[in-house]
Amino acid sequence: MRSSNLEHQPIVSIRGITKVFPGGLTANDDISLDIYPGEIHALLGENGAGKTTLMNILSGIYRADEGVFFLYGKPVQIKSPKDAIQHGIGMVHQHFRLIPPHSVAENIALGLGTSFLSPLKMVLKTIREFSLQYNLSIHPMARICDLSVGEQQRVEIVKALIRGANILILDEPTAVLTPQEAQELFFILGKMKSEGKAIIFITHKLEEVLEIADFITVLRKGRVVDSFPVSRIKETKEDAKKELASMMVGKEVILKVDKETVTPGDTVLNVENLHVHNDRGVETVRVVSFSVRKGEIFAILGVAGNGQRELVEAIVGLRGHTGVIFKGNGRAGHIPENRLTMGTVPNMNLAENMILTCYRDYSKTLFLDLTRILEKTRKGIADFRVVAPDVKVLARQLSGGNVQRLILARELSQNPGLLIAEQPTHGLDVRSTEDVWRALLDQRKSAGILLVSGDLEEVLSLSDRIGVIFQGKIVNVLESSSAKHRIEEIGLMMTGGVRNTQVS
Amino acid sequence: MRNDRMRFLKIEKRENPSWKVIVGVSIAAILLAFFIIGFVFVGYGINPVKAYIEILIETVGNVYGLTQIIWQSIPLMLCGVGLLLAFKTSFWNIGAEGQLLMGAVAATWVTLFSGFPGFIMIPMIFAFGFAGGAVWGLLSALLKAKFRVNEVITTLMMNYIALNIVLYLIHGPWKGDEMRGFAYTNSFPESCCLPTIGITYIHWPTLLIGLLSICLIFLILTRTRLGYEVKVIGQSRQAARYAGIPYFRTIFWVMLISGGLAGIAGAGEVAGVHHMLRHPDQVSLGYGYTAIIVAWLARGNPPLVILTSFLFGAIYVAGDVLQLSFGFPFQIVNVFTGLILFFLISSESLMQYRITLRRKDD
Amino acid sequence: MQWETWVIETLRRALAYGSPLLLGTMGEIYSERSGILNLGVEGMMILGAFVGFFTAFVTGNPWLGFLMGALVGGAASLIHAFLSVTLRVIQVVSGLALTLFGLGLTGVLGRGWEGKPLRVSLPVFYIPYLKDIPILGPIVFVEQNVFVYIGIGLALILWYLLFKTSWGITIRSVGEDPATADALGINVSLVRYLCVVIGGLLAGMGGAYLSIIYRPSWTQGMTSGMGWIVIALTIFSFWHPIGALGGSYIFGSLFYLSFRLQPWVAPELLTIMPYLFTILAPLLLNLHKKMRRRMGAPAALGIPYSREGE
Repeated sequence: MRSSNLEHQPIVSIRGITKVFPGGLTANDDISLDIYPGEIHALLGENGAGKTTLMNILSGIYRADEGVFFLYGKPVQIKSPKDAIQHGIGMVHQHFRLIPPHSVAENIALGLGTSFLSPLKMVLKTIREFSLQYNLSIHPMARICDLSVGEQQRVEIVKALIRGANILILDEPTAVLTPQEAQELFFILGKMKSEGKAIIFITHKLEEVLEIADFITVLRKGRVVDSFPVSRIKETKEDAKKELASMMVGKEVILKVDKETVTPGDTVLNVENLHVHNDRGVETVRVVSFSVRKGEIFAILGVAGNGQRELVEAIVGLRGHTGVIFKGNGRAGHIPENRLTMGTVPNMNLAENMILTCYRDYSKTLFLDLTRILEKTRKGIADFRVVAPDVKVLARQLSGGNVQRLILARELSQNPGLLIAEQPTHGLDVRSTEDVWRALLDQRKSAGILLVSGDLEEVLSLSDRIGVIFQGKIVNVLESSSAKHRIEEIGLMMTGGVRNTQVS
Repeated sequence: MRNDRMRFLKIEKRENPSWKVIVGVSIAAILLAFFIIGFVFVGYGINPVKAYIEILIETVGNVYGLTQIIWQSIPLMLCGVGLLLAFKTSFWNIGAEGQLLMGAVAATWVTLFSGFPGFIMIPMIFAFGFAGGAVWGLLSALLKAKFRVNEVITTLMMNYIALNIVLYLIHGPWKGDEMRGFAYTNSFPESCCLPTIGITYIHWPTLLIGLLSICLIFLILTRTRLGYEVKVIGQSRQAARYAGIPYFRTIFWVMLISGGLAGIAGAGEVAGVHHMLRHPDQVSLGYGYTAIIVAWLARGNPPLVILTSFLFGAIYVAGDVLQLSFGFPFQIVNVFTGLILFFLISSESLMQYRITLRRKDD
Repeated sequence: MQWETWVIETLRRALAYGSPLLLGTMGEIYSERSGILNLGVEGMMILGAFVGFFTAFVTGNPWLGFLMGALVGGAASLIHAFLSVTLRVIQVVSGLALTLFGLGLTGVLGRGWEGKPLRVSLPVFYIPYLKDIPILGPIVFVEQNVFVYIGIGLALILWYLLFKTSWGITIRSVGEDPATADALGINVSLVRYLCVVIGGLLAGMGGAYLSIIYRPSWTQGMTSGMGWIVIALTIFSFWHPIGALGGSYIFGSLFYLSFRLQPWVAPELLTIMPYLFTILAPLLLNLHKKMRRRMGAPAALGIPYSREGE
């Protein structure tokens, strides 16, 4: 609880932080907020809300275009991670920066300037102290690769604490934890809080926010929606969640596209009882069932990191799974999330990229039919309005929007029966986004489309049915016509505020 | 765009170095190497200008010199274009030397121990030479694709295994009857010796195969499905996975061809030049390693391999000239090759950036 | 009885043969542990061999020879360091160039010096009480030259440095994950430069051993591929100085045996063993995922590092 004591000053004050990435994306737009010591401050928002960018600026990884930071009331410059560490800001990232074959103590000792001959002595002592102080039980000589994810996270926390962090930033810390590990983490955070440390907790999960946060700031599309103590929101938990969810996703969505009515046809994709594990062996897709028919767009809506990637990989065959995946006749087209690392070969030209997923069709005799390929490329470029001086341009010289148009041209011209589109407008400008949407709606007439996205506006505009995914399960499936009126509810579903009510 | 902040210079990433820049820089690298070697000449009391003139006369300046260059460039051409293919798919085949030697071994077996009738000897020599090198290369491909063992290590180690196999054979089971202090096998019978052009050393069947291989690789890379798959894998394994391109199958064909061509080079050396299997350092004058630079310098263009293999063939002959006319050790060739390589790779790196003086208002 | 003395003699010789390998390997271990693959070991060793011989010949002082040999190796390695760390070229090619250059340069410079015997010697030890220890005594403490002990000593020191000191943590982290080390304020480039130079110094020293102790003379190409065995040994020892100790003596004994067993076994079959082992070791390691992560190559080996821009 924040006291009204005048001496209780914020540890960190953020004023007017703005960050625009090349390509025009405004990640942070004039953000101001205060962080107080002895509090857990939750930073709440969907994907793309700007939470991680803001914290990356605070921890010195990025530099803001505008705005200032105040530490204990004094203005400071944070030009690098080293600066941030010196100011007592420590960050625990979503992807840990640990060295697997080294021990816990060695990882913590790295760069600390410890004694030459016995580098671990000080570290071991401090680990023991922290263990008692914060209930952080880690075995200092264990190798990182042998530790559980929860334990690894604790090593990251110790790394920050040992460098004198008074402000600890955690980016989606429970994304990789089991419920039990999450509870252990909360206990540790509680102890730190009582020691006067300030904790910034980035999350999209409402349950957690209500459980441990003292103060909440909700971000949406790069701006602060509101910033307030937890005590202010409504009495009951359910109401509190609704209010938060609606702040996160907004009350209304203005739909910009016209959608024709199309009668659905045959099933092009049927998934039953799907279980998929990620690279660490954790099950990230749990008992998922849904189907997609020709003539409809079925959207999987959820914050990134809830199993979507593994789901798509299983469907396209890049990852093993248990359960049933049935794909109808015809090809499956795939528009991947990583345009430049997966969807195209950046150093190859447009023609070479145009045949990436269908080159066998253009080389039936083992020889490439160059005439047909060039023809297809020219047609594709024209049809989908890819802006490029000529066919020989390399893919990496195109803008993001044009790369996506190229990929669309490629996948759609193959007349797939099923099209899987992952975050298709992520990072694109408005023009390109509209083009992508129009292309998808067009294709819908002749195919079934599985749209995986975290963008509520996009999903509501395009899809016929929506499956909301949270922690690897489809929480609910809605008709998009009714979804328009249930936005708050959808927000709750995306953030774990609603229990699984999926009807198979 | 990445802007490094230095006090006086501004370094920006250059978009795409134009052809002119690439060629210009390559030639500059070669000339710089020549220039530095000049100092070594001076150190030995030899006038560098005189030396270079002598080299030019004896190499490209007369017919004999030219023929010398051509026959030395044959194995460089074959190994070089094979390596070019391997490098295109980012498979770092350092093992051309070993693949060459195994091709030589296979060819020797055919001539001395196979008992094939005379008229198919020469085709068999090439076929088995190809097979010997191909198998040797495929082993490394297998180790990488199935067991993830780095190909630099495996190909390198297999060079030395091959070298020792040859040593074993010429000192042991294949030791020739007429040993005169050195170890080598019996001489090849007439039917197994490759025909040469006139009195030169140029064993033209191998040369022909070399030129044909260049055309073949060029065709593969520009016009076939395999070439496309090779290039995608070489650029982005992730995209290759996405596109459904099978890694092992592609590497299989690449190393089959790359190793096989080196094997043919080896077969050509023993059947066309030496007419016997002898000490590995005489069968291959480091062709497998020099071919790496030959391939590199060609910058992914098979037809340029003709030029670059010719260039390095000329360097080998220049080394001979230096040895004969000036008593200079042949090893100078390695100094030269090493220097060129240094300058080439440095220039590659520097070509990525445009360095200009920082203006006042930056 | 005869069998026993035969084994002891083999092991005793193995220590002598293995010492140049040991020196070179320890150097390459440091280089690779920091993430830089240096295939120029053969070149650095031969440069050290020639310069060491030359210095010892001209000055009559073998210690000076070792010093100069080491320095030349270090200087040569700076070229590779510059290309690999600052210019970020493909390390395989840079190392090969260095080897070619070294072989070539020594072939040219050493022209007039072949066959001249070096008439200096370094102390050979018969250590009084220790030599009477059963088995170990005759192997280690009888008729071994001083550099065998220097080699063992260095191995222990370098092992301790790499695994028990703060510098060691820094070096190994740079080789595993330079981005993380960089974010924690470590100067990745400096660490890599230093480690490559250490590699060069030790390789040069190993080469000098050949021309001053092993065969006190100079012959062109006298390293005869030892540099490649060092590269092999670096892997075979799992990038561990103590592993290098054991491995270089194993390879050393194979080398000795290939001479000794000549009447019965073709020497080449034994000389192949080190190379074969080097292929098999990572193969077997890769089969077990956990082992690979623990004992395998430094994760960032051979990959040029540059800080991610925005």
